[in-house]
Amino acid sequence: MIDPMDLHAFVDGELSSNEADAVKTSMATSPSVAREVEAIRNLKVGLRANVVMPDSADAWKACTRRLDELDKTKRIESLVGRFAPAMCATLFVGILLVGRFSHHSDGRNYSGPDLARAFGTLSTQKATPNGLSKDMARWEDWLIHQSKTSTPDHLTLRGVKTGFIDGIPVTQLSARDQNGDFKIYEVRQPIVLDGMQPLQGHADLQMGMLNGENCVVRQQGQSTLLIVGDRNFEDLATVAAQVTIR
Amino acid sequence: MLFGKRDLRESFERQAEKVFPAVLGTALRLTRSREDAEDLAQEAIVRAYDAYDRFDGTNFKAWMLRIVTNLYINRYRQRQRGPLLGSLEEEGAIEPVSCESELPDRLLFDNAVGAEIEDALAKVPEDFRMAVILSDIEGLSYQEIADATNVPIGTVRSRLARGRSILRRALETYAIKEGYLKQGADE
Repeated sequence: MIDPMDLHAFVDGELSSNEADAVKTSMATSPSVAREVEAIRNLKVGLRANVVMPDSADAWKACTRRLDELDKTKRIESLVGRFAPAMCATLFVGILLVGRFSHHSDGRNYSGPDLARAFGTLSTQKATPNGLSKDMARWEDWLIHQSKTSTPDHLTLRGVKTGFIDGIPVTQLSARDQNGDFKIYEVRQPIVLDGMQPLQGHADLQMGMLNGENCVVRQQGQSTLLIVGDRNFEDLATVAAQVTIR
Repeated sequence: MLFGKRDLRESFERQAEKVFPAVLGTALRLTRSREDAEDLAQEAIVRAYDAYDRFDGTNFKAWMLRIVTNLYINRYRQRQRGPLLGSLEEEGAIEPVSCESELPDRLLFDNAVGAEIEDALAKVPEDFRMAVILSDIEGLSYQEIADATNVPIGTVRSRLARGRSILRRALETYAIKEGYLKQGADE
């Protein structure tokens, strides 16, 4: 008795020679087996010869386009993968350089908080045995100059601090007038304070905030003068107009 | 490096273009939708290209058809709802392909056009249809069909026998309906 599946395997050429011989013998003695083998063969051949082959030209073009995209993506990934460390390092160095350049490129560009912190490190000037320190003397001189142009008790010097920010000499003068306390900073190099804007009506002054207080800034020769106080910009501008660094 | 990749692409494209009609035809006979078939064939080509450096170089067509079949089984068939007809009919006696009336087989094919044969094939339950397509239309060996469909060779043999028997009945039904055979000629 031949297994029906063996007849299919015989037609498909999947039997060993011994198994195939057994089928052939069975075909010779049994017309129904021979008929079944013939039917399977005819079905197989007929099917293969008569199926519709689909038009594949457009679909193939779409495939090649997908392959192009895949190649492109792979090329980019490969490039990025190969140069990623170098690109990252370059970007990192670039960020550092840009940051440094925009912040302290020549030691003259400061943000308000940075400058306020730096000003906080200034130390009080004391009178020397020979008299006033150079800075105090200079500011006393300024006050005397003030007294010549204003009422003598118009402005009082309350203290002087000096020090350095990024190696630049700085002097801080604490003063008081009829409107209250304020501070004058003389930075002996031109500096730029971030976020400052021109003060209308005062071409030589810029206005902004420093440590929560209003501030006006004026470049004067090789120095920068900052006047800081809890008062409006016009008052600060008035004080700035009276101050001359000599 | 770039030249190597270009060679790889050219080699792949040369082989893939030759077998693409078979890939698309198989996809079409499995999905029975032109749109799905094109998607499936395209996805198979992309997968194959991606894995081409791992192709063992033996039978490219069988390898491509294995990718198509696996993709279909894993993706498209999961969308179908309800039990698979093919799975329900794995057991039981295998009907003979031939019929007692000794109906000439050529009659079945001589009078039917390709589209009608495709319709008859579409009536064969999926698992059996898959085996018939891969064996009779694409000429894969039992082992290659087993690899493509992830079933043992014994199951391939069984599915082929059942699939051919069902296909033959579908063709006869069609022939009777169209008047090429008289009703009861095979009874």
